[in-house]
Amino acid sequence: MGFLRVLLLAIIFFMTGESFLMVPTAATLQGLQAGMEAPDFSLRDLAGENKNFQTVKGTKITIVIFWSTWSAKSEKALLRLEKLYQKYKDKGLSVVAVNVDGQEINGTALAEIKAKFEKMQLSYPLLIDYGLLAFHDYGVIAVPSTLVLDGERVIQYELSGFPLIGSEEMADFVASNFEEKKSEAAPQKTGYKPDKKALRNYNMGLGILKSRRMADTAETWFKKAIEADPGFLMPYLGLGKFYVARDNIPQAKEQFEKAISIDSANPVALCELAFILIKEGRLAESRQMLDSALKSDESFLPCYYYSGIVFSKEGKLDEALRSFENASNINPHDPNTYIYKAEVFEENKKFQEASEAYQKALELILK
Amino acid sequence: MCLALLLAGLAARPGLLPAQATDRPKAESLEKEAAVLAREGSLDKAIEALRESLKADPSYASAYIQFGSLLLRKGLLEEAFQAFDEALRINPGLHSAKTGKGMVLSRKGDLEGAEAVLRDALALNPDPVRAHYELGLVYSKRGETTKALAEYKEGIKKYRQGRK
Repeated sequence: MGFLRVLLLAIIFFMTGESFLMVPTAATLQGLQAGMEAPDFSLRDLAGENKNFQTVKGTKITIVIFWSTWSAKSEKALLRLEKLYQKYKDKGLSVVAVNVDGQEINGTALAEIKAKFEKMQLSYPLLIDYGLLAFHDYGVIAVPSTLVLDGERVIQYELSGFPLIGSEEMADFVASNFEEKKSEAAPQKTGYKPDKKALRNYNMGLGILKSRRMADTAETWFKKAIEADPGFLMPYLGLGKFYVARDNIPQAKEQFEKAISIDSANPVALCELAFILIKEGRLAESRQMLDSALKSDESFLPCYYYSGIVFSKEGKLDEALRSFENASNINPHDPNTYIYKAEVFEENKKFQEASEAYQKALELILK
Repeated sequence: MCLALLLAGLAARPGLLPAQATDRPKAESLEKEAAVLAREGSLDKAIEALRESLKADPSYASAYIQFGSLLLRKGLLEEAFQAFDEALRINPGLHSAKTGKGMVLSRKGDLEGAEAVLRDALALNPDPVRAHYELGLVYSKRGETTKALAEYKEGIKKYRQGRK
């Protein structure tokens, strides 16, 4: 059966020219991965009632999908989940669609979301993320993003975007919870189970990073997490980003390299290291890393804007702009896309366009 | 609306109206409710909640700022200006109220006035991102791209430093 599926996918790939993806690795959420507890949410349904995880969870597993009307892949993902829902809802599967169309949803926008949802004839609940609070709490990178949670809100599986193979793997994983069927899902997607103390320290580090006064102490917590479990990848990424933010590039590089030594296809580590290499002028190496990262996860947003920077430095402005456009199609709420786009315009002496892109970035920041 | 604002303003001025009991917890709760309503796109309801908040505590500067911001979004520039002014009367050090006044002036087309007020709002402002953005807009409207670019970049730099 597994062989037949791969064969079928290979045929589809050759017939449609669609990129044949490597098994995606985990980079669905900023700061969270499978095996970690997802935050609770309090979101309104179409009747205006507040719902949290407890009120919508399934008796066995719950799928939460962040989707939008502007994302082309959302519809496919929602329809695929409807099939799963119909098959397993009586066995304990719950599906919740969280709409992340925008920061503010007025009456007209709400009517459009509702109409789209109804047109697809989806029977699971739709919640609206007013203010994108859950979107930011979860650290969603791409839309759609799908999470399979257990009854304790622990992430069992994560899927960024809606890649050809990844989506079927996720379906397999869901099915394996209800049928006598072993999931062939990649371990990165179902999550490395870190040592509890390491996880606690990592979460402390993440939490402290949000504090203005205490942010500098996050380093200690990430280091403690690594000490408690050197095989846990996330603290290396946290530490790497911590050093980047403080311009400590050699230390940052070391952390990303360690992360890559644990998971050679991790898109976060590959992209962040590539970004450092761009700054060092090592364009060919960074291009190679970005390509690997995109093969590993076609929805990992930063890869697109870093690719844009590389294209620009290679004198390919049109391709750079296409990369930025891809990034904003995946997640139009990320100001970094516009910040890097503005820098590229500036580098190319297009000051008016740079000014407009910076303006757009700030609009997103201030929303 | 003007009358309500005027009354709220007068009520906040000692000696102009008989002293009344204030209810800060109620005012805060209504302000929070207004924030949720605004997020959901119900601007009129949010404005109404803020009116109630200011009735509960006419000296609640934070509610005046939110009130001004929503009135500004509705395009009610004069009323918004009064609300920001009232917040500044209660607490002259409020950077966000100064920024709000600069935004109103900018929307009214008084770009020189807006520039001066926004520059003032930037002084010792721990959260200057919006003021930089608004100054950038003022320069963009005046066709001064280099200055606009500098303000936008400064705003982004401050944001990356963890400021708002």
